[in-house]
Amino acid sequence: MKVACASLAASLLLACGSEPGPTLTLFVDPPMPPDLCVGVAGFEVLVSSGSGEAPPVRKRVPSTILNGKDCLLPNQFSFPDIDADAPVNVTVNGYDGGGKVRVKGQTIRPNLREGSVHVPLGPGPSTLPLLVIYRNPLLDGVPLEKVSALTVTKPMGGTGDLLSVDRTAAGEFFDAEPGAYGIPRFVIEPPAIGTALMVDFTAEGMVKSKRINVVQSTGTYYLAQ
Amino acid sequence: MRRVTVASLAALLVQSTVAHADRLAVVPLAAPGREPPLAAADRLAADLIGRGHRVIAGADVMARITVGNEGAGADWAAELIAATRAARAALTRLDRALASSMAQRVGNELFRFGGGAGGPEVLVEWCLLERQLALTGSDATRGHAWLDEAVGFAPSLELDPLSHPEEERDLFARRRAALSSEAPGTLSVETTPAASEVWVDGVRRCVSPCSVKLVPGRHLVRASAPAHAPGVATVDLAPGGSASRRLGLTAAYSGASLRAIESMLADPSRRTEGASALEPMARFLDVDHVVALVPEGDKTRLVFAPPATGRPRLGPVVATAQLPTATAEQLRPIEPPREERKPWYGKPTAWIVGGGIVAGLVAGILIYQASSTTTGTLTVTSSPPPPP
Repeated sequence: MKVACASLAASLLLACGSEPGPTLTLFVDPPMPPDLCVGVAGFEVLVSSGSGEAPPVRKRVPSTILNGKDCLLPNQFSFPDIDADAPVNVTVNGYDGGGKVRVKGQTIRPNLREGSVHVPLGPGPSTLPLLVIYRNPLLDGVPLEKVSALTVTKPMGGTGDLLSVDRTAAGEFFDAEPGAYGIPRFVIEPPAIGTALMVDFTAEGMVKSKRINVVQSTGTYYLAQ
Repeated sequence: MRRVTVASLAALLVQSTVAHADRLAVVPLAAPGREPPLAAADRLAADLIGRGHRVIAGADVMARITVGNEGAGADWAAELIAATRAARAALTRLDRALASSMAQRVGNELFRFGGGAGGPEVLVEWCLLERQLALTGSDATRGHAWLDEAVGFAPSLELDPLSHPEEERDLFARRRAALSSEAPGTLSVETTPAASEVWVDGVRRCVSPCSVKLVPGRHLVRASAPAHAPGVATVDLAPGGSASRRLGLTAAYSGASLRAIESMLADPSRRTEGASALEPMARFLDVDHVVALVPEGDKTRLVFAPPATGRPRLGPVVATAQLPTATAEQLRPIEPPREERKPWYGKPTAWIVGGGIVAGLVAGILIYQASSTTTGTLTVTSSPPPPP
């Protein structure tokens, strides 16, 4: 009899506690064309709903995306305890190494009871020509984590910096290797193969300068080394 | 002088040990080879009454617990008939005093049991004995009345020629013929409880409530029901008249008989059992305590038996060494068997409380669920790659 009562109580508790809430799965589709995704160093997912705004979740990709077919989220982002019956606004941003949004997707769903929906990525605010630099070979053994900023200039007669990136502004996407950065000047003055560039790394209060050259233009980015 | 001392000491003993009791019953009991100490019991009862207690004396106790339990059937009637015949034989020996005494005792017995349930012959025999006593006393009128009464008790009875002379039988038959021409009377009987058997003049006549037609004259009525002491009544019916009687039957004593209690108290190994047997007697008599007097050698032993529940306990027993002529013993009655402990799920209370808790729990959950918002999970992931 005691066993029966205990089973009843356990069943009640289980019945009350095990009822799962609905789950909405957002499948993020690559942008069209997929090459818009090149240069993305990581993704950020923003969720706001009737129950409030969830803390943004950012995740760096293992390696900066240089091919459109590799435009995948580094992992699955999960947001529990969201009001299932309130509208939910989801934004997915793809950042480059300088902290600029290169691709973006957004959707507003009436509730979490739709099962699954697809969210396509589109071009973000920054679609500047990309400069890709493999930084580790240039640091002479200094860990990339020690670098707090980098600057790219033209060594001869340049007018101002081509790029200035601060770790604080770029956040965790700063460490994605290779570094991929949108260069505004390249819009109007695309670099030629062989163009020399100066890269200044600031690490532990010291500035390390390296001269590099643009060695490749893939049509989607310029590679310098 | 010695008896007075015994009674006084016993009264003192009882007085000192039943300080809070005010309703007592004193019961004299026999012991093997010894008669019940009736006189000592009466003196003890009188002393206790004088001290302010309400006491049922021994004779009353025995009368109350035996009524309804002693048979009043054929054996009882046969014994009384034998007694009347013995009285008639004594009368023929001119021992009128013995015959008169026996007739009175038989009459008392008949009225005590409402004529009994052993047939009308015993009533007729008693009436004819009384008639003969009246005639031998030169009271012809009373003799005639007794003959009428005998006929009234058994209007259809034929007298036994071996026991009654022809002259008596002729008189009985003529008087029967005369009374049968008179208008019968009607007797209505109601009883509590209802559906009791109604016996009139030793014959079962109906089940109450009921009415019966009877020859005019005096009749003895007895109503009996299972587990109840019989109710008795006497009624005088005029020719064509009617009468009604309402009889209340009280519950009969259903405990151990006095003889059984005596034998239990006489056996040391069953003394506690005997004391326990006094409890139902106390309840039946509606007294706080039963005090039994048992002869023991040249002493009288007093046995107190407090009822088990709802009654005050007796006080400390006075040391018997201080009482050379009486010993006292307070026997602890046998504890009633404890009610078997039921498991918790066998008790309705447990189910009521448990049901309340479960209902409250379920209600709380329902209220909580109704008042709380349903939450879900949002998962963001990359689309699966298209099939190659």
